[in-house]
Amino acid sequence: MSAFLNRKMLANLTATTLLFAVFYFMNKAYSISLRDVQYFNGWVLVTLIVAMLLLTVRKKLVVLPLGRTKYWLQLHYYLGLVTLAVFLNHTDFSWPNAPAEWVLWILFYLVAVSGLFGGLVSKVVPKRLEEQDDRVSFENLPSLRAQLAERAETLAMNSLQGGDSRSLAELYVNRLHHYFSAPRNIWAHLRLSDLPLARMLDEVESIQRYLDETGKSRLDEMMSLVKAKNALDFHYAHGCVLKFWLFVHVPQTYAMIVFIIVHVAIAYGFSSGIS
Amino acid sequence: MILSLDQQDERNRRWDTAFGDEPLDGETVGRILALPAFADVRADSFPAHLNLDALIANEGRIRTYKRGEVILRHGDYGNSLFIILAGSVVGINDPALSGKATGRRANGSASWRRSLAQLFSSSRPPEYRRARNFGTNGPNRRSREAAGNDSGLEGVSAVDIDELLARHTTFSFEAPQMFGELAALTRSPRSASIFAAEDDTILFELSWQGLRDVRDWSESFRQQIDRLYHERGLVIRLRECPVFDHVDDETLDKIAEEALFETYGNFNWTHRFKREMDKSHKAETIIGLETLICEQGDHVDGLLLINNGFARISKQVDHGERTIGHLSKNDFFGLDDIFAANKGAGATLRTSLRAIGYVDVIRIPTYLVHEHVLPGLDAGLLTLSDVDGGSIEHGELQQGMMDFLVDHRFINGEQAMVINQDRCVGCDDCVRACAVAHDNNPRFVRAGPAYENALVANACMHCTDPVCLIGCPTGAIHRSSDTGTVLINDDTCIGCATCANSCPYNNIQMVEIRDKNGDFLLDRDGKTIARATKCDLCSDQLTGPACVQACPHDALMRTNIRDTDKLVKWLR
Repeated sequence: MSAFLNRKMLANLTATTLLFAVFYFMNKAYSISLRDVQYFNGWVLVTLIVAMLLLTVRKKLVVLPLGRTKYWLQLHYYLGLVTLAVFLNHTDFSWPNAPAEWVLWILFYLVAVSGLFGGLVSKVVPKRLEEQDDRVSFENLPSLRAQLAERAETLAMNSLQGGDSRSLAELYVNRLHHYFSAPRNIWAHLRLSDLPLARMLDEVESIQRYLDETGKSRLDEMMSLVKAKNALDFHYAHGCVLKFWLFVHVPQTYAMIVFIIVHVAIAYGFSSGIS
Repeated sequence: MILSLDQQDERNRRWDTAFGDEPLDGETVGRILALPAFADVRADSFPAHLNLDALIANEGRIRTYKRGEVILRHGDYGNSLFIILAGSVVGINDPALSGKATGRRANGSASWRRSLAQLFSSSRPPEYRRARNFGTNGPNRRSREAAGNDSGLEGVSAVDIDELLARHTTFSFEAPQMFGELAALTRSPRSASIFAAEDDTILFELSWQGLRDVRDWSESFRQQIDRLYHERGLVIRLRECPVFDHVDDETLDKIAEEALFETYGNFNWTHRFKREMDKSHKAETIIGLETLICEQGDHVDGLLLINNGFARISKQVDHGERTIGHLSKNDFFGLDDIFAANKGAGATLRTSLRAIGYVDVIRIPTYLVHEHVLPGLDAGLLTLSDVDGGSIEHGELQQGMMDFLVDHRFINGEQAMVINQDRCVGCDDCVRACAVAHDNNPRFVRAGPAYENALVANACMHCTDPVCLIGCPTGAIHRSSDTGTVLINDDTCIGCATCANSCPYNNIQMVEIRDKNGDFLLDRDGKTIARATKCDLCSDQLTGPACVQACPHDALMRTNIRDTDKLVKWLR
């Protein structure tokens, strides 16, 4: 079986399906008994969301023996799937009919989609980074990039010293300075495209015909710096994805909780009593 | 040394805390130095800064036991030497008697109350230390046990000596014999349980620091201790080794008489290793530093039994050496070759053996192996595929991993932190959890040497042979007697950095301590005060290592590096 679908995962998915089936039949039973089923599945939804929030609580209470976080994350993932199914049931697979509910609907999908995205990238990105020669810590990237930029600039400046060669310095000023000054080609790296690197290397190589032996060895060194910078950008692009999906998932979750409270208050405020 | 009140500061100094409750008085010290063990120890051979009387007074203590009381427990980590002053003791090598019968108990320092208080305590500056309470009655001297180096034997009930003698094979010592030197010198667990055989058995216990210093400065004492170590270690090791399981005691004694005790490599290997690693950053060159014990193609010259330390088995491939295995305590080398020679398949070694740093080896002459060991030997102890002309070499993945682990000497790690980079998302939850468990001070760095997807992080590995313990002047860095976890007692650490410099893996950090306002604490000379810090495996937490608990992606584990099967399986 693949890394994405192993025996443990199948067992968890089966348990998730069973949990949803229990909900589905209870929901059906409420419906058949002519009670307002929206209150039932609404509270189920709230309960599931609260259960998912326990992951955050667990992370804060790290020195208490409440089970390893990896198990809580698994619970979070599978409850997330059940929650999505219950939400679809609660909203009857349709766009809501009031502005406050539109916001809640959008927030829920933002949280759900970002969560699914996060789960996916947590599996995919570490392996992608591992395929590179050396794994670089995200926090070290700026300083490593600065070191490369400095080396490239020094190399370009040194090429002017003899007074008879300006191609490399010109290339540096026109193209490479921009390339080394900040992370580049983020989207290409995320698409695993080597095209920008190939074009940059072609461009660097194109001045080879104007250089003597010393110049050519400098050019080789510059090309290896370009490749090193490309590797750093690859790490940066993927590191950003790993870091920043949480900036969508977590704040939207708290906003969603606020709107859930408002939604429950409105639902009870305008209800004619619990059926 | 007692300082006046205006001289007192937060810097710990050697002998601020004596090994006993109080330093021994002059009369007792005189009595100790009159013992045969110290008869040839000359005070004038010690350097000026190390007065022999003060050393004995501060590094020794007198202990009195009732009949049946536990003095040492098999399997416990302890590194002190005992000399019997009065009475006698009974010992037993049976590991079965090391558990509840001798009062082994779980670590009781962790509690829910403490953990909750830790979670909700107010934030403190980094490396904050509470100021000591200097009362008007002099500095707050505490014995090292009270300060954390607990032997774990307090409150353990006595055993019935008569029953013990009747039911087990025992050995005994009486005044003025010594015991405990084996565990002290090898930093290994106690190899026997020792009980007081009489009421009012009085022992002099010398800490490792005292033993080390007397041994360093007195050649006669060194020879005496080393002779005991060789004699007793030899027999104990032969008994523990499965190769001799079918050999009777009488024959074993005969083998012990003929066996040779050999030492290879350098006891202080760690500094050279670190220097070479810093210089070349190429672990594969490290094999060149390792002392050759026997070389591939040499005549088979006995069965080698590893008594202490680590050794590398390698085979020549083209112009280099391929590591095909490593040996540690109780492992043996050459049995297959002796067996093959016995069957007429040639009498030369098919692999080489090298000392990884430092290794003690017991050499059993070949003819004794032919005569007493091969007949009746469990066939499972022979790597038969090898004998039959097959190969004991590992697959490509395991080969690379083997080289990585042996070259970096990670095989010393009992609880190494390994990060699976295929799963690690770099969220730093492990680092944060470590910080929460240690007053906002993370005790490891999520970086280190890596091979394929395995990264061995800069976290204390709680080594099998913790060389960081050797040079500590006060015993602040020590092993928990029950679990073997290497811990630092902050109350007795003098900040000398000996342990940090000795750690071959750079896993001990020196920090400068601060007061509640975040200002550096200064000693009476106006200098900042350093303390050694490292991973303590969250030994005082309910959860065990917080880093493992916190990792959401199962990307981090603490493992014995020698358990390579488990490691490789987890890394897949």
